Amino acid sequence: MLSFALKRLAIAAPTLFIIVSLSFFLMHTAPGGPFDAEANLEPQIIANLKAAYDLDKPLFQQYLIYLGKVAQGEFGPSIRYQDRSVTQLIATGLPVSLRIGLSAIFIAAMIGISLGITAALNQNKTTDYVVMGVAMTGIAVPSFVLAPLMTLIFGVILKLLPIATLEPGGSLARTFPAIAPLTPYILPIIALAIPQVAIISRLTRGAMIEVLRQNYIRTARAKGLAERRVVWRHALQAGLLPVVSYLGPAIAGIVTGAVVVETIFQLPGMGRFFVQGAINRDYPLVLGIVIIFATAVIAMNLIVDLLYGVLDPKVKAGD
Amino acid sequence: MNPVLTLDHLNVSFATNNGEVSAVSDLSLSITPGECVGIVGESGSGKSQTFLGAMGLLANNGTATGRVVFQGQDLLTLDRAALNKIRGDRMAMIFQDAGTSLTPHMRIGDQLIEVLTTHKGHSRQAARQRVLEVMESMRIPEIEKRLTQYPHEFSGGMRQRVMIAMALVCEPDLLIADEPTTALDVTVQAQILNLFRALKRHTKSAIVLITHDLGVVAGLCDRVAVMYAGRIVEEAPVADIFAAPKHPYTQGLLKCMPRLDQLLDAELDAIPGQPPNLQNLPNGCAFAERCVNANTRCHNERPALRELSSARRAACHLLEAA
Repeated sequence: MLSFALKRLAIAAPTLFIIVSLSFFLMHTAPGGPFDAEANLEPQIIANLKAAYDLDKPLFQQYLIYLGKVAQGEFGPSIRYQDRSVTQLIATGLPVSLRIGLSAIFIAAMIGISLGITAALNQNKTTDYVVMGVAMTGIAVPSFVLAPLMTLIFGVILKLLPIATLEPGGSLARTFPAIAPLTPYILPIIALAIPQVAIISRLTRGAMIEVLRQNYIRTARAKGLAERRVVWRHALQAGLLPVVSYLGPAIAGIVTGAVVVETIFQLPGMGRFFVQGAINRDYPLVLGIVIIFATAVIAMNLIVDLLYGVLDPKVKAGD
Repeated sequence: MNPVLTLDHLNVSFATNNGEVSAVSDLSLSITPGECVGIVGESGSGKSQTFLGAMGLLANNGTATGRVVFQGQDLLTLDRAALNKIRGDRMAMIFQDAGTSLTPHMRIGDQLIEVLTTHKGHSRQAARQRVLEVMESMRIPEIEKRLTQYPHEFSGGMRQRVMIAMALVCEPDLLIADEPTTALDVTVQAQILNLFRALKRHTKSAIVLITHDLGVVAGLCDRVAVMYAGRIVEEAPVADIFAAPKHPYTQGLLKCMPRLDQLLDAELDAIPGQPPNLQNLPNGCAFAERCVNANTRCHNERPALRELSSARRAACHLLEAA
């Protein structure tokens, strides 16, 4: 298990290198540059600015300079957010994204898995149809529709929750001061969680239906075990495999790139920095976030593979 | 002696997209304590579904009607909780493919121990002790180590021994073995059959042995019921079936068996034709299409299972005429 993890970490380094290189050149291939919006500046000032960020040098040299910095664990200065390094920006954005992303995926996994199991146990009955109907709706309604709608209902009309701020507010915070600090996060978390609940419940249902048809489930029933034990002990572990493999990349994605939701709720998270960085051609910022995202995906996939070994004894990590 | 299990006009059917398929029709059979009954028939004759139906283990689209009286209780009227008290404890089943019939992600020990903790209220420690005993009697080597292993670490024969041990830990009054040797190598088959023989000698369990292999029946069973297209066509003590089969289908089955005293290049007498489609069973005898002696009555009227002597029953018009 340990040697397997080490091997995977050794592969992670070249993978990251390739991702950084590809993103660097793709980013620079995109037309325009960081100072194109400043139409009124003197050409000399622009040239000075470019020199300050090494943008006047040949592309390949820029690439080597950037690689050198990354190798030292530095992402360089942001071009757009003056006087702040990319590391500082990520340090302010990542906690916000982590907080809403992890909460959303945790809640979504709990609800999604329970709904999926319930639907699988009631296959082709009313409960199943209702759960899956709701899930389909959750997948079909995009978050850029859901999020403004929730803002309108719970923020503007009912005034229960604060809108587009990290400050506590709304009548909920006044009625229950204890949970006031959480109130700004409630709507973004729900908006992030709903599509995930839908996907996870469908995955769980499909996998559980498959598992419940297996011969060993019949054996467990023939042994006279209570249905609860058949489901939890004999079926669930195998039924969760597809959900676990989905959750790995999903967690990485939701934590680093809840772009739409962060934009709508005006949360200063990674997703917003990413979009702003891309629009402004803020090369170091975008590349820094890409590296964080890639690292998260690689780490989550490693965790998923290790978990697979735990859930399915036939998969021995390292083979 | 009161029978341990009585199947009384049992019907098993499945709802499919193409309508209802009847797998078992109007089947009645009694099993007395301690005896070993062989259920013989080809694939699709309903022999497995009969007992899956009796134990409440049919697939979701299956229904069993009639009566299944086990030690005085009609199992078909019991709710899930009451049924769970009986199955695994007083009535246990061994399945054909031990490779897929054991939970792959649970240790063998846990799968065996949970039967005892569920039914006997044993502590884990006491249950483990009993499991070791049973595994030892199944001649499983290195049992202590084996308990902590997963099914994929066992060979096919060892897995089948585990399945049998699992069925035996609670000392059931009725053991149903569904093709317990079919998926195994011939040498391993012989070992498993020896286990059954020992089992017959040393326990008081009645055994139902479902098989398509008449050789297995000859070596183990006291009585045989032959099934065809969801019905019993002949039932007799095992010696009588081999000495003087009455039903043309049983006669055909026996002729299909290769014999050592025949020339190697002698052709086996396969029964011509195919078993009927269960969705569209004929009005008359289901075997008539394949029976060389069939007459118009056979094609039009279904023969009842009639008593020939005190221990023998058969369903054939031709026997009546004779």
